[in-house]
Amino acid sequence: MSPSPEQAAFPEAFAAALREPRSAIPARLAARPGVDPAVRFAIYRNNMAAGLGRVLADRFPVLRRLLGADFFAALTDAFIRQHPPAGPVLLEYGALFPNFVERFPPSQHLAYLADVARLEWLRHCALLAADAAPIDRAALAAQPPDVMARLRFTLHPSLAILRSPFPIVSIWRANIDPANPAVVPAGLPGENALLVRPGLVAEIHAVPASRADFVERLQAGVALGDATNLVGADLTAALAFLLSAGILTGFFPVSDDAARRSDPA
Amino acid sequence: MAPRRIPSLSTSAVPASRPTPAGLSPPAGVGLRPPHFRAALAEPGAVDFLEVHPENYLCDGGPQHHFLTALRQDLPLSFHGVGLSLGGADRPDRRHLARLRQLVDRYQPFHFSEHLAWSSHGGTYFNDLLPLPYTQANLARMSAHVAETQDCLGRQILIENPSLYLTFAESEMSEAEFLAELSRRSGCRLLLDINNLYVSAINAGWDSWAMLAEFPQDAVAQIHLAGHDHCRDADGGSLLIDTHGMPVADPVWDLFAAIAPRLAGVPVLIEWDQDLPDWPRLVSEASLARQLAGNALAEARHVAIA
Ligand SMILES: [Fe+2]
Repeated sequence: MSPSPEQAAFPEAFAAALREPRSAIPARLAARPGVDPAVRFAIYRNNMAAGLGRVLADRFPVLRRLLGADFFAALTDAFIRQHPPAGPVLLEYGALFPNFVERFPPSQHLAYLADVARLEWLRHCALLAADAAPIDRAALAAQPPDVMARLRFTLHPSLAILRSPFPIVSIWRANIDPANPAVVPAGLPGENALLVRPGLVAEIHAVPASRADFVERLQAGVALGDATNLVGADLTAALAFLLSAGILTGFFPVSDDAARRSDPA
Repeated sequence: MAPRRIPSLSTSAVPASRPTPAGLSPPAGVGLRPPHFRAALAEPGAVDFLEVHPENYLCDGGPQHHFLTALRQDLPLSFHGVGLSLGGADRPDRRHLARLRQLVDRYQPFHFSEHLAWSSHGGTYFNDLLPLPYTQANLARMSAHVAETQDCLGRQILIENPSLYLTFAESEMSEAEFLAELSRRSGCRLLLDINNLYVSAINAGWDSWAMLAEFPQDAVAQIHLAGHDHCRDADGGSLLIDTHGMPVADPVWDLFAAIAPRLAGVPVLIEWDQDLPDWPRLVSEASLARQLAGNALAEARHVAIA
């Protein structure tokens, strides 16, 4: 039995009309007698925009406060039309939103907004990242100093770093509590955000560039002594920060051979 | 950290009905949403089971898995998929199915349900449960999609009747006929959402009591109850929006009480997804469902004996 033209058109015509708000609705739709199907079709159009709008509002609360609910809704409506989800796992929806914010003409003059959106996206990702038990501090403390310098570390899977010319961490902190009025701190230098979720809460730290470098070197597998030398960081202070922030999850000593090979001298 | 192994529970075992004097109440559960994680954990005996959308747990770690794993140690779990688009034109996404299978293996839900609807087409996910014409062609296609899903998940699934705002002139059979045949062909069972049935009836101009009578009751493995918004069409008639944002409406309770004696022991779930109430309010709605079903069954037995 070959399908009738209407069947062949389903759900192509329905899907096309959902994606284009001003297009005609598909033929041969019905509702209760006396009701215009176009009015009912609008419910489906609205459901998509409203549902995804709520997802983005939950995921980017600080951006929403900075823009106001109406402007944010206009932004998300445009984003949803241009970049609807490709799949049903909405935990993964919104990765493209920060770049969209950056290019959205009405908000382009507020350059920090895209970095705030990036920070919120990274925070969302940190909440979904794999779990990892903290490093064995006693075992680490028992390492002799010469071995210590040759240690490599495994870092928490949720770790992320975002460098910004804007004070994104200060902006985020000032606006995350809806009880306080929306505010953009003025006159602050750019900040580097370090995100990590050692337990159930995603922590956001503002760190100096040298410390961000240090963490990135360790993440790349550079031995502790080399990473310290490269960024000129104070080893004790840097280690204390890594431990207290829950960034380190494990360590393994570099073999003498490997250490010699990687020795820049 | 390796996922904690869930205490073994047969995948087919439905939650045990809690003992009541009459012994007639069905298990009653609620949809679990993150704002209720801690409250549910503090009072796991308040409900008989929990339901989650598995799509919200397709992540590596973090609070979602932390709380669901902890709650799963206390309570049976039902998975309610919203993303497989089984009524659509495209075959179910194999990669998505493989991820769902992993989650099913990890949490061992007693049910996995999906919808008589579609939500994706041509690489776009519409984030809604969209209607389809009830035609032979769509029945054949959806039966194949359900069968493929059951193969991939290694288990029987449940298919739920949708809430409709529109119908199709080309439909060749009733929704009940479509569902009965879908169940027969694919071997799936059915999830009877009484709120959806009522919403569809009002919106399409159908008779909800006739729909309930026609529904293939023998295939029903779970019941959903939820709240809807009452709006008006341009002609002043009722338009119901399936918001899951308020208490179950009286006409839905009436339909539930009428069918409960026929579906004794079938788990019943309260869905509440928007404008979430506090945990005790949600629990009280589930308790009401349990009590109402128990009373209806006791009364039916009483009438039968007298
Ligand atoms: Fe439902």
